[in-house]
Amino acid sequence: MDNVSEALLVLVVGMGGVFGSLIFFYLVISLLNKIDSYFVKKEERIRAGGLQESKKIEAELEQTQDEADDDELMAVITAAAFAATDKQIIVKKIQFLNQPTSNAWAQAGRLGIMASHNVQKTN
Amino acid sequence: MFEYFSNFIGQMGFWSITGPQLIMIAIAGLLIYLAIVKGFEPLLLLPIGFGALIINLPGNGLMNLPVIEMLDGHPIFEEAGGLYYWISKGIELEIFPPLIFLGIGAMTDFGPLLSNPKTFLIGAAAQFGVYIALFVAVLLGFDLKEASAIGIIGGADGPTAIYLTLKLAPHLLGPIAVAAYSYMALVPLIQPPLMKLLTTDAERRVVMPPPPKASKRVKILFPIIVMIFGVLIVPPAAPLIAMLMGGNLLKESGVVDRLTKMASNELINIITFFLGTAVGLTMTAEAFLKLETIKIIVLGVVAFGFSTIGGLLLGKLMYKLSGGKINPLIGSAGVSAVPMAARVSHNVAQEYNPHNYLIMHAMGPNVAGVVGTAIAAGILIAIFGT
Repeated sequence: MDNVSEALLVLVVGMGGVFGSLIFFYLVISLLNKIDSYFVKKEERIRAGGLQESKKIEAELEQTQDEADDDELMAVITAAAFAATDKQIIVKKIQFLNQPTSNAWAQAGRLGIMASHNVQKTN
Repeated sequence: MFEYFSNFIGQMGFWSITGPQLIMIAIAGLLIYLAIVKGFEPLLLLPIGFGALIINLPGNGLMNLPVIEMLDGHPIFEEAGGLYYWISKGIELEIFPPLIFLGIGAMTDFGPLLSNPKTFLIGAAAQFGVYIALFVAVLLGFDLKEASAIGIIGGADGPTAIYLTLKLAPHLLGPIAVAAYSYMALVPLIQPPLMKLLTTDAERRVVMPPPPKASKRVKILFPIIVMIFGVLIVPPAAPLIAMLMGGNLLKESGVVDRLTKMASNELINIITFFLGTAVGLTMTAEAFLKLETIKIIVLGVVAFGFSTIGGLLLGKLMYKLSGGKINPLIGSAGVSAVPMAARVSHNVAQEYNPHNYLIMHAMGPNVAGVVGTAIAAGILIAIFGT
C-alpha cells in the first residue's frame, strides 16, 4: 500500500478511534451523572425527612421545656426586676427575641455590657 | 604574555560562528521578541528562544557529552557533560511532557464538560485537522511517522505534540514545537474568520442557559474512570492520560492541597522552563534551517484550521439536533488550547450579543479537546510507534 492510501486509512481509523473513545466517555459520564443524581435526590429526601423529624422533636422539646421552665423563669425575672427597681412588679409576659442577628450592633453592645460585668477568675 | 593573550583571543566563539548559526540567532531573537513584545505564549516561546540562542553560540560546551569510563564494571564520570546536555535529557527521555500534564490536570476544572458530557463529541471532531494535516504532509513528501508528528499540531496541545514527535520523529522536534506554540498563540487570529464563515448570524446569537453544576462525587470519579479506560484503550498515551488525570484527582479530592499547589505552581513552572529550553536546544542550524521547516509551519496552519472546522461543523450539527439550543461557536473550542480557544468562542459570541456568556459552555469542548488530542496521539503511536 502506498503512503497516500495508508494516510487515508489512518484518517479513518484515527478519527474513528478518537470518536469511539470519546463517545464511550460521554456515555460513561452520562450514566455516572444519572446515578449521581439518584443519590443526590435520595440524600435530599433523607435530609428533608430528617429535618422535619428534628423540627418535630425540637418543637416537642420546646413545649415541654416551656411548661417546665416558665414558672422558674418568671420568678427569676420578677426577682431581678424587683432588685433593680425596688418596686413591686408583676411580670405578665416574657417575649423572646427570635431574631438575635436582626440588630447586630445592638446585640454586640449588649454582649459588651454583659462581658464587662463578667466575674474574672483570679488565681 | 603574547601567548596567553593569543590563547584568550583564539578560544573566542567569534571566529567559529557560522552563517547558519547567525540566522538561527536571529530566529531565536524573533521568538524572544514575539514572546516579550507580542505576548505570544511567552511562558514557552521565551525559554524556547533562550534555548535556541544558547545552542547556536559556538564553543560554549553546554551540550558536551559526559565522558564515562568503566572501572571494575562501575561507570566513572571522567567529565560530567554540559548542563544543557542533562536538561535536554528531560525531553529525550519523555519526562517533561507528562509532568506538564500533571500540572495541567491540577489546574483544569472538568466541571463544564461533566455537566454537559455531549461536548466530548466536539473534542473528538476537533481532531479532524490532525488527520487532514497528516494526509497533506504525506502528499508533500513526509513519511507517515513524520506526517503524524506534524499532524498533531492540529490538536493545539504543546506537550502532546512534543511527546508524539519524540516518539515518531524526534529530528523534527524544534520546528513542530515552535509551530505548535506559535499557532496556539495565534488562536484569536486564526479561528474567528472560520467561525464567522461557517456559522450564520442566528446561530451565533444563540444563548445557552447556565450549565448545571457537576457534583463533587462525579468530579472525583471522572479522573479515575478516564485514567482506567483511557489507558486501557490507548496504552501508548498512558503517560499523558495518567498524569493529566492524576493531577486532576489531586485537585478534586480536596484533601491534598499542598500537592495540588505543588503540581499547579512550582512543578509546572520549573518544568515549563526546562521543557521550553530543552526544545530550544534542539533548534540547531542543521536541524532547523531546512525546507521541511517551512513546510511544517504551513502544515501547522492547515492542521489548526481543519481542527477548528471539524469542531464547528459538529457544533452546527448539535445546533440542528438540539433544535437550536446549542450555540455552534462552542465547536471551535474543541481544539485544546485551554482556555484561549474557549475565550475566543465567548468573545465572538459577545460581538453578536453582548449578554451572551458562552465561556463556561465552551470550556466543556475545550477540556474534552485535551483528552481527545492525547487519545489521537496514543492512536498514532499505537499505529506507527513500533
